Amino acid sequence: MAGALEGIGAEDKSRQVSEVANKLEAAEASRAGFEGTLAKAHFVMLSVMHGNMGPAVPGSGVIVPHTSVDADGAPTVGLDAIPPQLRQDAKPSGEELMGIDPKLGFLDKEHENANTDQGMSKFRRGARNVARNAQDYSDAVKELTKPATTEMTEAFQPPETYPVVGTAEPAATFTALPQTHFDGQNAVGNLVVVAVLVTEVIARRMKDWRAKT
Amino acid sequence: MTLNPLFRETMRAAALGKSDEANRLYDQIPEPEISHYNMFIVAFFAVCLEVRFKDDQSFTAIKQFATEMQYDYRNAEPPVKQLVIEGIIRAMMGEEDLIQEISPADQHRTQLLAIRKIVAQSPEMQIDLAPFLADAEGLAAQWAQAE
Repeated sequence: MAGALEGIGAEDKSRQVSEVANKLEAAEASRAGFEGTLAKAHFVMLSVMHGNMGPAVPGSGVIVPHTSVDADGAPTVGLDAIPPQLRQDAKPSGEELMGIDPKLGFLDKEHENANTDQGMSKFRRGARNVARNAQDYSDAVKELTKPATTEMTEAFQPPETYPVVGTAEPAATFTALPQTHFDGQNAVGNLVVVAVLVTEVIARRMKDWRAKT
Repeated sequence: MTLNPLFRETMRAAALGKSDEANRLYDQIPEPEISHYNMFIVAFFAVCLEVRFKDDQSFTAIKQFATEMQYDYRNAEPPVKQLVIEGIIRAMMGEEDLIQEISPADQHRTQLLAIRKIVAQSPEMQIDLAPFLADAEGLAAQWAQAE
């Protein structure tokens, strides 16, 4: 048609008509495309419904809960029956039972509402295991103690302005040494004990003597 | 059980940066007692950590300590590793599994280097180290006795 119009000298009309024809072709192509998509979607739908594809196909590898429905239409078995938070009893951790806020991090836990003494014992509790380990590796590090000690002096180069930590107060708590046997070398301590005994004896004798006179 | 008094004197010299004296005293510790001395180092390290982290045991405080310490020993060879410092301190605070990931050599060295730093920064320890050493000795003696 465009060619015929051009033949009779109507070039402008020819151009316009060919533009319309191009647009018509494009629209037809889109329609065909949509139709294909629709057919595909239809196929997919039917396949899923008939179990030819999707997670319900045996061997698809997907675990699908077996669901059965009771008289009221509610699922009776399977994962859908009862939501997990209702299916299982609450399992509080030891910390939750003790009323420790579960939001606290591992470092905050003992620090929270802990007094300093408890914090101290924490270091000592942990140190016990590190010390056990240290005893095991004694042979391995035997040659390292002296070089490390030298490093403590020579490699330690703190900045000139250095923050100090803590105050100059005497330490509050000391671990008492277990004293289970008589310490012959503790002269002062033993003398005190002897002096107390002597005083006691003298006091008694004085009392007796006074009673007699 | 009492520990060799040499332990205290060796550690005192080491902690105050008198390494020559410390090494001389260390040589006098009898060979069979070396493993007890290593336990004593851990005990004193624990006492030092108590002093250092008395008021703040947060992860931030530990990290800051590690960063500082890395700077203090910036010329040490091999370099002092921040994660190793953090790991040891956290192990001392109860995360025992972490200690398995740190080599014995690193554990030993890091503890000693940290002791020097903590003592240098603590006015109370600078004034008198004796009670802290006695405290550590008591702790180590308890461990040795429990064996």
